[in-house]
Order: sequence, then C-alpha cells, then structure tokens
Amino acid sequence: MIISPDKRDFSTILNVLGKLILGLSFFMLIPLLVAILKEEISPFFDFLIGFSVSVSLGLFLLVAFPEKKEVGWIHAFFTVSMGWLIFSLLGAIPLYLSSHFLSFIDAWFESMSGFATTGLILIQDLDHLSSAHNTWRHLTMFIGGQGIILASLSILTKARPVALGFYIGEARNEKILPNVVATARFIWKVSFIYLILGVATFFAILYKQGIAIDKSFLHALWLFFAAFDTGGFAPQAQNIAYYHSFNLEIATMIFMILGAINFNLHFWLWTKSKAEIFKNFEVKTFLFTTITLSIIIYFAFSRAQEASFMFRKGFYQLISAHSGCGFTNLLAGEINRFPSLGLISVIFAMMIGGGICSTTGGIKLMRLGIIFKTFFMEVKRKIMPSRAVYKDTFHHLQDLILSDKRIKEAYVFFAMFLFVYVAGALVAMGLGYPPLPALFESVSATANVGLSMGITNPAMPVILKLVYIFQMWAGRLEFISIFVSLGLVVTLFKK
Amino acid sequence: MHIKNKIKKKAGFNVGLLLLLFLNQASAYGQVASLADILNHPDRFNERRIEIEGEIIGELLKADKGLWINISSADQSMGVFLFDKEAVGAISHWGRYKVRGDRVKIEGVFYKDCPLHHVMDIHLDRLEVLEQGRVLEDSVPLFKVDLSIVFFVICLTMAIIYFIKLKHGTRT
Repeated sequence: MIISPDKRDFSTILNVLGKLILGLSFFMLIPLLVAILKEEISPFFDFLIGFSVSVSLGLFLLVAFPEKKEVGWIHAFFTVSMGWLIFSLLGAIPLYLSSHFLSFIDAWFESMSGFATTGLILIQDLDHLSSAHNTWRHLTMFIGGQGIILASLSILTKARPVALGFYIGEARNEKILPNVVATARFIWKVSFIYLILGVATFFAILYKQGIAIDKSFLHALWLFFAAFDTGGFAPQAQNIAYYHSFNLEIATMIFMILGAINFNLHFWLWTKSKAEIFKNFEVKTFLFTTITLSIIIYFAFSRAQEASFMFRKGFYQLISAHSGCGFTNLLAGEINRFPSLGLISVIFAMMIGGGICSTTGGIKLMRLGIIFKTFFMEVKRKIMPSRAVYKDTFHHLQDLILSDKRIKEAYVFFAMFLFVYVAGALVAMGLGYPPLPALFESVSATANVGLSMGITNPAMPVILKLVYIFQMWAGRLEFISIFVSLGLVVTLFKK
Repeated sequence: MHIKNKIKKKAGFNVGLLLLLFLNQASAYGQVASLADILNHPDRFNERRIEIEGEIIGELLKADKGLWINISSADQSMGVFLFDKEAVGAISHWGRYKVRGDRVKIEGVFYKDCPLHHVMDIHLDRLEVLEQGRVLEDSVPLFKVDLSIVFFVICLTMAIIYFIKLKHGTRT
C-alpha cells in the first residue's frame, strides 16, 4: 500500500521547511558581516535583500502552515528534496543581484552547484567579484557539504526519531553514533577541527606568497570550504592555477582526500583504532581505483617525459575527480587536449567518487567495492561444489557479511547513477555537443565534481542548464528522497 | 649579356626569397595574439615570442626563483612568470573587486609545457602599461535600496505576526 498524503501532510512539510529556511537565512548574515567589514556597499544590500526574503518566506510558512501531524519519514524525505531546491533558489538571490550573472537561471545554477558541492560555474568576471559574494559562494559548499538539514538537526535540542529520516534523505547512509543528532554534531565537530587545520595551512602558504594578510585569510577559508567539502569553487577565474603554487596543490589534495573519507572512518580513527585505515574496505577500494587509474593516466601521458608534468596535469585532476572536488590547476581548454585515455580515466574517477557518509557524490567506493566483490564471489561459487554455501565478507569498521541486501542496494544505486550519467550525456549530444565532452560534463554534474570540458558556460542552452541543475540536485541527494517526493506528488494527482 | 641578365634575375629572385623567409621568420618571432588564440592553439605558439594585451589581476605572487603575475583578457586568464620585480614596477592598479587593473602589453615566450614550472605559462621579457586602471565607484542602484527596504519591512511584519501568533498559541 502506498501512503497517500493529504493537506495536513503538506501543511506539516511546509511548516518544517519554514523552520529550515529560517536556519538557512541566518547563514546569510555571515557574508553580510563580511560586506560590512570589507566596506562593500552594494553587496551589503544584496545580502540584506536575500536575508529579508528568506526570513519572510520562512516566517510566512510557519505562520500559514501549522504542524498538523507528527513529522514522519515521508515528510522528512519530501522536506529534504524540496528544501534543497528552495535553498538553492533563495541562495541565488544575492548572487543574481551581484550583476555577475547573465540571468537568474545562471545564478540558480551557481547556487545549486555550491549547495550540491559540485563546482561547475556560470559566473562572469569572477576576478572582480566582491569578498561578500565569494564568501557566500564558498559557504554554500560548506553548508551543502555538511548537509543543510544536518546543520539544522545539529541545533535541535532533542533527538526525534524522524531525525534519521532527514539524515538518510540527505544521502547519508551510516550513523556514526546511535543518536542521529549526536552524529550530526560529531560531523560538525570534525569539520571545525579540520577547518582550523586547513585554514592555518592554506593561510601560511598564501601569506608566504605575498598575498595581503586579510586576503590570505579569506582565500584560505574559501579554499578550505571548497577542498574539504569537495566543492571546487575558487575565488579566481583560473581556479587553483591562479596561485602558481605546488605547495598549495599538495595541501588541497590532502584536504580533498580528507573530505572524501567516510566520516565514520574519521570517527573510528580519532576515537577507536588507527589500524582501521589499513583494513578498511573503502580505503582499499580507493587505493585500488586510484592506482589503476593512475597507471592508465601514466600511459596516456607517456609522451611527457617528466614525472612532474604527469603529477601536475594528470594526477592532480585524477585526485580532484576521484574526491569529487573539481579543483583544477589547468587553464581553459587544457583538459580538452588530454589524451582520450586520460579523459576516460578522469571520467571513471568522477563516476566513482569517495566514501559513503562523506561530502562527495558519485557511485561511492563502498558500492563499487561491493560490486567487484560480488563478481569474484560469484566466480568462486561457480568453482565450489554445488552444495557449498559461501558468503564473502569485507571489513568496514567491523567484519561484515556481503549480504544480498547490501549487494542489491549497491546495484540499485550503481544503475541509477549510470542511468543519469548517460541520460544527461544524451541530452547534451542531442543539443549538438560531441559524445566525450557530453559524457564528461554529465558525470561531472551528477557526481558533483565540477571539472568541465567547456560545455558549462553562460552561453549554453537553457535546457541544458536546467538538466545539469537537476543532475546536481538528484546526484547530491542520491535520488531516493527525490523519487519518494515525486511519488507523493503523483499520488496526490491520482486522488 | 644574356647570361649576365639571367644571373641578375636569379640573384634578385634569391634576395626576394631570402627577404620573404626573413619576414616570415620575423612574424613568427613576436606574434601578436589574444589569450584565447594561445589557449585554443598552444602548439602554434609553443616556445615562441609573443605579445598579448590584457588586464593585470590580483597581486604579485612570490615564487621560488622569481615572481608571478596573472593577466586576464576576454574571460581567459594566464600566469606570467618574471625574474625581476622591477619589470612590474609601473603597474599602479591590480584588478580586483572595485578596481579595474592596468591594461598592459606583455612580451615574452609562451610555453605549452614550461620546463621550469611544468605548467602552461609565459616568461616575461617586457611589460608595458597601455592604460592605467582605476578604482571603481561602489554605487548602489536605487532599486536595491528600495527592494531592501520593502523586504525588510515585510520581514519585520512577518516577525511581529509570528510572535503574536506564538504568544496567542502559548496562552491557549
């Protein structure tokens, strides 16, 4: 039997959305403060408008739609999927007012790209953007990477059973602590510790390069948001290439990888056993895929004699793609001249992504590992006597049996991601783009990476902008909460 | 006489050929190009002396054995490496928010895969400021002020309604 929502359900959903919008609007006070400190007058008004609209909408929903039912899982899923859409629209308001976007859709694209930690950009003249707007662009990645709803959950005073619904709705499949609110708070705690470490590291590098102290601090903060939350935005049009710093490239790689690691593994390493890093299934899968793809990249780039070319051009993009970050040290069009084999490696790295319960997108290491393991398990089964019962195991914080449920889940997500990757590529091809760049861009949007072969630009067709917005949104939430929401809407129309 | 004329003609042809070759060489040595041209066809310009024009962006960045500047033109940007700080002494405005950077002409050698830095870059020979940049006025369009007042009033009204409703709800 399918649950059919009524008016009271929607009233409850809108009420919860109102609360969450209020939460989001307070994040807009941060760029507002930056605008005041940096004496940026026009941006101050942009954020004042954005803040006022968000608070007004949040309060209106609270006043007009009372919570008429106990919040359940269905409400949570619907709230999450709708919440991300509304947040990206509200987040686009100050961006659009900056006059750095050709249309509101472009600003919405940028906002969704930030919240979904993708990093694809449609902004124009980025080098002249205000500090307040840059703070907001990068902050959206931090909010989105941590989970917008998670941000709200962590400030709830008591744990409600439905919190798990919000948590899973935002594509987090594992609890770290028994209580979801405690889990949310732990994720924030870990992130803040890395924030201090990351900002200090980036600041030291940038300040040593001769960048002014206040600018070094802001750039360090923004780059941390983009690296750890695997977002990929940067405050300059050349992205990481602007800084011409090998040290910064190494540092960003470290924080990209840290961001791509399962938060559960962070918890385990911090509080329980350091040895877990050598046994963990996701880490092993990551090493296997990285080494394999690096070898392919090596052969693809074999024409370049020096290893440093390989490292800066190939390996950096590979790690950026694999972690789902999207930072690049290449100039415009350089990636288009990658050998086909190199490009395919980067596409595969983007498709896979990082750990479950991390800030990355894509199929995820755990699922890919399970698919590999299932294949070998089936081969072993065929070799064994027909009566033998064989179950494979893997180690993720503890020894786990490779159950049918896990295998089914891995294949379902694998199929969904593959379908959306291909569908997005077909749309772009239908609009006249060549197959490889079309696939590259589609994977980059769905897996929330942000590397681009140039299709993503303000002049691209509006329909493709909307398709990529959908892909970023669906990819970040891993489809389920969106499909549940669509199902609910359909049942409403069937009534 | 006939042979003399023939020799003269041949010599003239050879001189013409040499001149043509020289001119061809000269055009390849110091090509004026746009950043977009260079980025789209790096092989054509690789290890050649080029001239580009654009806006100076950001700041002077220190490197191991020199310095970096960034130049931007028509939505394309590139790093320019230099050994001596004096080469950029004439720059008065560096492009950033509220500042339009100096428009400069860069002369240097373009490297598709720079053997020193392992990236695509230009090694500076000479920099000339073509047009001084300027500090832009941070003017606020009137519609923004009006909009912010309208929405701020709506926001306050909603807050009052919400708190009245909250108070009323708590009492009942």
